Amino acid sequence: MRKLLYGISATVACGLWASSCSDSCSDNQNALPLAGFYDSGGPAELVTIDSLEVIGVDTPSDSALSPASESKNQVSLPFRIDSDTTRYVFIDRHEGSGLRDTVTFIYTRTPHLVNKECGVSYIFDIRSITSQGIFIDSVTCPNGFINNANTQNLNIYFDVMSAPV
Amino acid sequence: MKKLLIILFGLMVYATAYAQNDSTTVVDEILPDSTTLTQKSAPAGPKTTPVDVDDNKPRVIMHYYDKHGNPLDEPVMFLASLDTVTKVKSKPVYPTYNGVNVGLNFGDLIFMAFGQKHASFDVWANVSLWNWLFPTLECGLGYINDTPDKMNYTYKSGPSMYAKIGFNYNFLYKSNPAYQFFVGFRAGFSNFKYDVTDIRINSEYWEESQNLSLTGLKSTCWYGEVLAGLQVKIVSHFSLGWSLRWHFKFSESKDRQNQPIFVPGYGSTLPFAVSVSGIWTIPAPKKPELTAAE
Repeated sequence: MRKLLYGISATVACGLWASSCSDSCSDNQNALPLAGFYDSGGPAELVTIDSLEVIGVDTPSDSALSPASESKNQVSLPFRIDSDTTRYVFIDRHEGSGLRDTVTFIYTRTPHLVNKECGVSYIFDIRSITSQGIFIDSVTCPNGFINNANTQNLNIYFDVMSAPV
Repeated sequence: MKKLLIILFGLMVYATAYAQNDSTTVVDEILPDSTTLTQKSAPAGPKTTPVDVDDNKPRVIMHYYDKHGNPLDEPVMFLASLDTVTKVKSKPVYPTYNGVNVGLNFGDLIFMAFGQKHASFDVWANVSLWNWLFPTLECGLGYINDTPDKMNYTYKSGPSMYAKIGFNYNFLYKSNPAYQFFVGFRAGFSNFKYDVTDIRINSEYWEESQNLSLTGLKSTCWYGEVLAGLQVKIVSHFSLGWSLRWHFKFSESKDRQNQPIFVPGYGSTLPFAVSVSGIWTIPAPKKPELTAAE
């Protein structure tokens, strides 16, 4: 009887130990688009842009997503979640230039349960991307969608001759 | 003269006789117990021990011929004793049909007491074949209502049916059937619905928030289990059994790209599960007997 109790106790202990182990989410808990900067006429390597400010159009606080004081070769561009359109303005602050380019993302949102640890996030299926301005040549989404994967999923190609590199 | 000679002869005989008696007395006086002394001082001879004949002692067998029948130069003593141990039989010793076990798996009841938010309960039965192989069928219900800590959703699934089929292999198949140590395999199936509610998605930058629900999601899952366990008789026909199960999915369907986090009978995302069962044994109509003479 004593061995029996030992056996049950050991089994329960193993189960409790196993149930206490849970993986954390290795990806983003929200789908967060990450855009990399490239030279439209150069090799497929990230380029660093100076004095570039990024602001979302119609943000409640009108605050900059990324200030011009930071040199950057990537920027996160969170999409709106109560609208299927998100616009960002890229402002060249180099020597008071003030040139503005606007990029518009149109997409459909589909919530989905990724897994227990990462929870529910949107999948943004990109329908179109347009850019208006001088120094952004084009913007692409190679996969055609953006999920919670912790990877770069947008490419922004700058016309280096015009961009504040 | 003649008389004188006779007298002298007589004196000589007397003197001789007297002298002989006198010498014997002297020796006797010097060595009064010479015979005894001689016996005590003599060196001890080899001891001899009487030997009993042991009738049970194996008889020494001498071989005068080789295995081909040719005479040997010298006789050879056969020293090896014959192996009297009977060869161990690997075959089962119990009859083909050896009864039925019916069990109730209540293991998740224990884990729910420690905070687990899902459970699978099943009734199972297996047939004892030679007390060796146990074809097993398990049928049960599983459900979940879980809001994981620091997560943005609640996952619900009402009681959903599942079934598993497989077998156990009892290592103690020649021992008392009341005690088993077994390994086994199961193939499981479940078709179930689930809802993901109270979803909250926020965007800090845009200061937006969405409350959503995903309802009526469906999934079908096939999975396998490899298990090892024990079954121990408690009293009469009642036993307790427990098993540790490593499980893996063969296939799982997604609905609208949603992946279920709980599968009835399989459990949640952990690769291991534990079952604890109360078992009632229905023995075969005829009491199991050893098939062999032993």
